[in-house]
Amino acid sequence: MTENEKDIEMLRSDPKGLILKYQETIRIIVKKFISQGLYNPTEFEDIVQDVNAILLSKIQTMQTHYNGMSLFRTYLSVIVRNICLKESTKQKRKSLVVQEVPEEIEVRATVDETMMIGHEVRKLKAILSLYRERKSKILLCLKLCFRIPLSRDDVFSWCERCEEHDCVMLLRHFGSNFEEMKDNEIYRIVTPIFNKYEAKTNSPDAVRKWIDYKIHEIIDLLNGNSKKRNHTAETLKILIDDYFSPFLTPK
Amino acid sequence: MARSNSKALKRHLTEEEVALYAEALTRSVASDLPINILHHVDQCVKCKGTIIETFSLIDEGSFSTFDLPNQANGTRPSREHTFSIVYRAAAVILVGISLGSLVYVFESSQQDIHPPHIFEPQLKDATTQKEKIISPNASASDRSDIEHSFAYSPTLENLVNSVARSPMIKIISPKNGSNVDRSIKFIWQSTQKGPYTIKILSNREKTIYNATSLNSQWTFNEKLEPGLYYWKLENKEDLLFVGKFFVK
Repeated sequence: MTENEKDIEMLRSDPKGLILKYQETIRIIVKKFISQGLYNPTEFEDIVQDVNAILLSKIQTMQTHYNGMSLFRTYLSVIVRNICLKESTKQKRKSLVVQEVPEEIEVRATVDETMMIGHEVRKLKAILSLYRERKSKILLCLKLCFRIPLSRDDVFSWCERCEEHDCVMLLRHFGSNFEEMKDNEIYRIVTPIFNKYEAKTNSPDAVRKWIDYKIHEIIDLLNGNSKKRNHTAETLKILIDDYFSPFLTPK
Repeated sequence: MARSNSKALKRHLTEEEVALYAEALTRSVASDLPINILHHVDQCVKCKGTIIETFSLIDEGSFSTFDLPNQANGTRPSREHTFSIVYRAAAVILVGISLGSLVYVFESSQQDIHPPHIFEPQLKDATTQKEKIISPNASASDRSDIEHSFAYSPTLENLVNSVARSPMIKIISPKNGSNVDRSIKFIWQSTQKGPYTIKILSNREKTIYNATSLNSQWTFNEKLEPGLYYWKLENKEDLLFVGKFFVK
């Protein structure tokens, strides 16, 4: 019997025991929200208890709705996340900065930085996956925005039927260092190519606005509900650099 | 769970669909998810946010990031928990041996899973079902409705009785031709890669439910009218199994 099969059985026969089993997971999620400034750190135990009380009241709903499609632990994580967000809105708790976190419940910053960046790169990769067919175009545009040289793969991932002379033209402009090139010049060059293969008539400014919008959307997704807004265009550039780095291949 | 073939869901994802998507991202199999879920998320920033936060919560790196105040030994997990190259190699070998054993067991038990002479006993079984359901006082039209609900589908019946398409599948539950109440547990063992699609079909070959599971099980909690039902188990490449069950 797998761990998840045991969970499913427990959800039916001993739901309270199941919630007890996942106390560690619940505490980690609450801590994560504290670290994001959503809750006052001194309320840690209270919040955990509130979450437990709400979970107990939701047992019947969980029994009805959970079908075993995903792991129970993941399903519970979604529920705990939703409870935390709902409670935080309801109680209008004030966010506090990390410096005020008491030592005993401090979210320790002893984590290896590479691991941390690795996690953020995986998160970025997951975000990009959500865009499905548009992922390749977004990646190509992100490279252009952050002045990261393009490769043939970037061009043909975006458009398999891209003609050789167009690919050569793009690589001539953007295949090596183009840090000094201005935004309007970049969009003036790429827009006709985009229009040609996507059968559109966009202006360079429209393409610029589209990619700006996507960059903000990606930054928002990276930040999530964190009130500290750790990610900016600059940190996104670092992540994109790492994403394409041959030494830090994302999982 | 996707219950229709429309291009995009007209609602936000349920909690379990969010969990399913987040898990699929960790396993890099998101493109195998039902198309209506993919279409909805593609267009919905809110669901994207929920999925990414869940992904972030379940991502291994993130879970190991935080210390717990009440851990038994009071210390945070050390870096030794990280697999070394040697451990990884050992794990790969172990998984290989386990898969090999599993294939061997499945192949040797294939006859047990799909006995070739199953057709006759099942016909008898169905007759018993009808006898149990139809009371002596039922009207002629009631009897006709019930009989229709329990009538066999020749096409699906052939699939049920055909030799298994894949020897790598073993169905644990529900037993073929069994009676089920509410809460039907579909459990199987397979060496085939998920995600799996489970379809419940009426005896008129109409798909009633269509669900996706990353795990080798799925529980159906809703009410079905009395009758004969078939179910199909598929993965992206293949139809893995066709079974049937009766609802009283």
